[in-house]
Amino acid sequence: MKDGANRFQSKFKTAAFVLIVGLIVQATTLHWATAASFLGFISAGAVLVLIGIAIYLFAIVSA
Amino acid sequence: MNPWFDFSVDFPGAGVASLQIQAVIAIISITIVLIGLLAVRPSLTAAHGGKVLAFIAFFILPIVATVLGAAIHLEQSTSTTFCLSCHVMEAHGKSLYIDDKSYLPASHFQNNRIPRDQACYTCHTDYTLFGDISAKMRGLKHVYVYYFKDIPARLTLYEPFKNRECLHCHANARSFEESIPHNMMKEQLVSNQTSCLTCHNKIHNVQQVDKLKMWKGPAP
Repeated sequence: MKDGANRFQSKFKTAAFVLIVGLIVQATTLHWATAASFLGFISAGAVLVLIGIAIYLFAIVSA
Repeated sequence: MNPWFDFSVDFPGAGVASLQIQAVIAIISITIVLIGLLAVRPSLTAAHGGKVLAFIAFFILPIVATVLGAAIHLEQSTSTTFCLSCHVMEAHGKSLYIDDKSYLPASHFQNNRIPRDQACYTCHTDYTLFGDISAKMRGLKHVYVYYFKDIPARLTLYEPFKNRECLHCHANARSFEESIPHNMMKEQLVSNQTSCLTCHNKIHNVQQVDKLKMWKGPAP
């Protein structure tokens, strides 16, 4: 039981970390209207946010 | 770099209102704070309210932030600053300042016939039902080629420039309607049989742009 809770917390924290990094990347890229910032938003920010959401969903489903 | 051609600086009124950007950044900040709080104190998610809060912070808000952020980036992709942020487009941007009114893009840009903050987009989008989307898809392709493929030595349009894009503004304009040459060939122009560029053939001329006299108009 405790192991399960630990696993959940571990995934939960991983999801939080990935989401925060992704959101920071997204917020940063919004400051520029350039092709590079658009690419950064899509290829790093959005991808990290989607991975973070997937980890979170996996954590709550497998809890 | 000549400050007049510094397109890294936004034109007045360029792009998306900063208020929208600030609103998205506010949503992102709130999301980060909530996620951080829940990550530091996972015990908060034990209660029903905590579970709902976690779902909002980890699922709803990040999706909202991503969708709104993408919308802002797409809107910003119509700006002159965005198009000219690729080094390869520098000469095209410079050509907007050619001091010769016979140069079509330059005279449109310098006389505010097109919005300066959306100069490229105004002429190079398709004025059709899905023109906006197809212009943005082309833009995405440009970004892909710019970063991951070999950039062609000579940049060309995917297809010949259509009169529709000119007539979107000029059709029914007094200056266009009262012009004798335009009247004589109106049918051909409307049906795209004769291109506007047949007569108005001084376009960006990027090969020669460094040798031409430049207009030192108001700095962007």
